Amino acid sequence: MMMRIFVLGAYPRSAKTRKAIRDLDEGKISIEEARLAILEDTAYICGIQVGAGLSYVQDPAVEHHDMFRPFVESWRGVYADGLLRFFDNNFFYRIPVFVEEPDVQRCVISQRVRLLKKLVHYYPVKISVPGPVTFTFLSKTELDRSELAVSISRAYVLDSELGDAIPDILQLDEPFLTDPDASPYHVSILEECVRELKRRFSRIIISMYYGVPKEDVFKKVLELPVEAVIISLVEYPDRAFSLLKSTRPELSRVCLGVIDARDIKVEDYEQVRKLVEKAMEVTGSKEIYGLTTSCGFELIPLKYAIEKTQILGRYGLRIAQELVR
Amino acid sequence: MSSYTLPKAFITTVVGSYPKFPEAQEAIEKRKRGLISEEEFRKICRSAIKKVVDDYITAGIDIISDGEQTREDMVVFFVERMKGYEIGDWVRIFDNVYFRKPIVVSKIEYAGPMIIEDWEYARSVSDGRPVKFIITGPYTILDWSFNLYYKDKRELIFDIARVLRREIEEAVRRGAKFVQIDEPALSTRPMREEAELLKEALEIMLKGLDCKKIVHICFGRIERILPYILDYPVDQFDLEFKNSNFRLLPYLKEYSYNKELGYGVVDVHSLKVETVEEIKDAVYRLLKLDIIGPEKIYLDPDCGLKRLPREIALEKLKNIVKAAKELRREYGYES
Repeated sequence: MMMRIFVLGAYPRSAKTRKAIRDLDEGKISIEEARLAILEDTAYICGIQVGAGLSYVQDPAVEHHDMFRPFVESWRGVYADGLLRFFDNNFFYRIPVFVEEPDVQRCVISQRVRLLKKLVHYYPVKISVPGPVTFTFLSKTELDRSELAVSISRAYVLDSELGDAIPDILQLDEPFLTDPDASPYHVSILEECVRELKRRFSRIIISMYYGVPKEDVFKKVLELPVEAVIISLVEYPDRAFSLLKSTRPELSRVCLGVIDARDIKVEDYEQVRKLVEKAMEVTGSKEIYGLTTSCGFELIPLKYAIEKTQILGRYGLRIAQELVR
Repeated sequence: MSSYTLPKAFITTVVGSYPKFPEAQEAIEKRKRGLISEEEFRKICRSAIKKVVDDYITAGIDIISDGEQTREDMVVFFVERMKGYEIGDWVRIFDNVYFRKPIVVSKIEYAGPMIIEDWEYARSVSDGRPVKFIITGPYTILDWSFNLYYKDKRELIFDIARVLRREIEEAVRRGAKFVQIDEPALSTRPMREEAELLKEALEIMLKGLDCKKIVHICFGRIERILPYILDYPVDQFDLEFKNSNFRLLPYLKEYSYNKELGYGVVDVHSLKVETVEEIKDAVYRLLKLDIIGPEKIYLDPDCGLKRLPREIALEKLKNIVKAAKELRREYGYES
């Protein structure tokens, strides 16, 4: 099995795009002019990923204000409210408020796929979307949350059907599952969502980041019918290794976050190699699904995101040659 | 300077920041571009500080602040005035709003006064009302910076704490009676080891100082951090309640909270002005828990008011003051 190497999530905006969005908000430029700046960023970042030899091109999603916003703005039944801190970051998202089940008005996923496919042609494309559990539990709603999570999954399916485009990999971002409040109950909701999503998306991976999931949560996530599960080794390495040691998952289904995407300090090769070696040692695995970043790059400046993308590619290829069967 | 007598109960106060006045914003920009000196910058900002103080006095707030008019940001402002930091590139806070996330590049050292002058000026125009000395705490400064120098996080936070101590010491020497350390980042990692790290840093900062010591925490999992912070060397916690719909209240009871409480009764992220009745109801809910009495309750907003329009901020403060007055009468502290 070939080890995959890819970036986990979105990228930061360039100064030009920040200015373009600001100018658009102030009515100084047209939407076409702003889109051009965004497109330049998107093309540049995709090119960097291809150049770094990554297995998939991750959607840079530079125009999205937060992970929920493109959907909140494209679905009926939900709107964006006040700001709330996003996990442990000095970054705030607008709380989605679901007043009814989401009704797709405009396609997001399929539109992103079409755009990226135009940019990178034959290269495999990965789109990350808010995991239905995280989406639901970070929103305000009077609706039943488990039903809402399933209806969000249906909306993703409908989006892809209406727009007639499908990513090579659909990644469900579920940072909520690393929260101490998360339990196997939340994974059982996710299970139903995955079943729904599998009707349309054959290759699904689940990413859990900003923390380390509890053992019972992780075990249950591993049972889901998905291609792989991502966990980060860099933020709380002791906890992550203790989880791997106690659960001993087959790493052929686990993708390891080995590059810290929230810090600008650039990792050296030995540091990354040691993480991978230790993960293989504590689990007794000879194969690894893949290597990735600890989370998306949105919260560091673009120049560091680019540098870290390049070292992920370089280190990943070397580790694949030196360590992985 | 005339004297001001604080009420015996339901003292009203603010967390710190106030909507930025245009002259202050312009001065920040000009200073950043090197068009004006630090001295000119401070001078220009004085008129903004005066307006903030006037608004507080108009509203009737008892313990006021300088409105943080000179502060571009609660971390960048301080680290720009310490040795060891470099101002980094732009990092997103929300939507298309960014801040320049600082980078630690060498040992952190004191470089000179940071907020003393603003605080002194606010005091000189406060008509005797106490002005809280409000400073961003070491945990938040550490957490909202990148670090390319220190190998050990403990060393870094303690060096920041030592620098902040010098500033606080000077303020206390000049007569500061209320010192508030802002630690919004703490609630984002509600773990015992993080709370204990800050406790050690607070001891460095506050030990032996003769003033009312306050820690402000907001917007996060405060209920999770609460059991680990109750033995902090402070007199008061100033906490956000309204935005999280008073979710924290039962935990105060559960953990036998008995320090003074800065009780956040208005939401700084909402344009809706809370009514006097709503604020009083929030106080009744707290009193009903029977953990602290009216003399230990300070009424204030959840957090700084900087993101609100000035007129909304002022209305919210006026209603806090009206509610406090009515409560004092109801509980026999005023006739």
